[in-house]
Amino acid sequence: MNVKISFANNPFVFHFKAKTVMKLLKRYSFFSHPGKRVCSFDVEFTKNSNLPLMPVITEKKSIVAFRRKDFDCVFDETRNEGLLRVNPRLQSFDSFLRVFLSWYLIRNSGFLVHAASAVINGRGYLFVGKSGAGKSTISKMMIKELGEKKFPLLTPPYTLYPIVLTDELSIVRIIGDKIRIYPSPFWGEMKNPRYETGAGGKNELEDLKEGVDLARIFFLKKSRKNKILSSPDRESYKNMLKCVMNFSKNKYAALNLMRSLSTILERIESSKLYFSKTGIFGELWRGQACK
Amino acid sequence: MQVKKNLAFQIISGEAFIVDSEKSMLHNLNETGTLIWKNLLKGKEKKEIISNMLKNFNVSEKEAKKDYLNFLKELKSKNLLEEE
Repeated sequence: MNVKISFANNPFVFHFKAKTVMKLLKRYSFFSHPGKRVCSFDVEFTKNSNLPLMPVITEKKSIVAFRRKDFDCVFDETRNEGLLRVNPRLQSFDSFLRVFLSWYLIRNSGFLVHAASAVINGRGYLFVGKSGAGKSTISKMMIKELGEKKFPLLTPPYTLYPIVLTDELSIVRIIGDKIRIYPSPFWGEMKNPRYETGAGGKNELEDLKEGVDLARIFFLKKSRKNKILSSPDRESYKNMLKCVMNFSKNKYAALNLMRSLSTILERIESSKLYFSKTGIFGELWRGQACK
Repeated sequence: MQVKKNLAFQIISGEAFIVDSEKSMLHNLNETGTLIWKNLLKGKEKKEIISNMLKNFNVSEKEAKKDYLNFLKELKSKNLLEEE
């Protein structure tokens, strides 16, 4: 059985020998894609052992290996084909996808970053922060304070209603002179997002697959008072570097990533968002960020 | 001694950011460290580096030498230098 899924306009095909992939199909239903693939994988379900606990990426010429205790993938970069042996668990497949996508995006002017992301008024926002910084909290507050609509408009006239793209791991890419953010299958505390269940508004949400222009980056800071302060370039750069997912030991992957980050921070305003438990969007957002 | 080869770095707002991919470590240098780092990359010797420090910063020769030696010690301790 073939599963075709696309993230940030990169269609991947997975050829499963096993038939029991229904959970997987449901998990990635929003991301299904009928078009030509950029990468394909033969997938075998196995119980791997003697592999590292933490993900390790090793690169030798055009052969790249992605290994963790529960998956082992050998990928031929010249053919864009791989063999994936993975535990028959959704979490294991999901983890492989995260590791592979983090590697793939860095090579293609993008990255996965520990950040919540959302579309408000047709513009994209990133809320960057490591575990415990408040990514899920800010995502929930956004919906609570700005409201939620079942059928958000992505074409003018825009609505203020937010669409949360993820509360955990965001996809960012540089496409020509645009910086775009995309729906992500990787979520944190906010379970059952609309575009996973496909309930209501699916057609409108389809537009999101093409990405949304990023308007501003916020670095999350929990605080007693709500305020937005500018973030100096070097501080933003350091914070972004710390939050981007990169398991590669390759110097050139790090260089690619560093170049992408400096390009993004040259073009996109970044700020520190100090937020308390209530009112950040009501007090500050309408006036400053969503003009 | 020379700067380790497998390092990626970039200058942002006058400060060097160095990524040691093998160890997944990020190092951020201040202006003085960045100047020394850039000079080391160009293969410059101690005397020329200290002379450049004196040209760029308002410090005495004694302070510049001390800063240079301390910085090199720090780079070595963080495994960012290797034998030529």
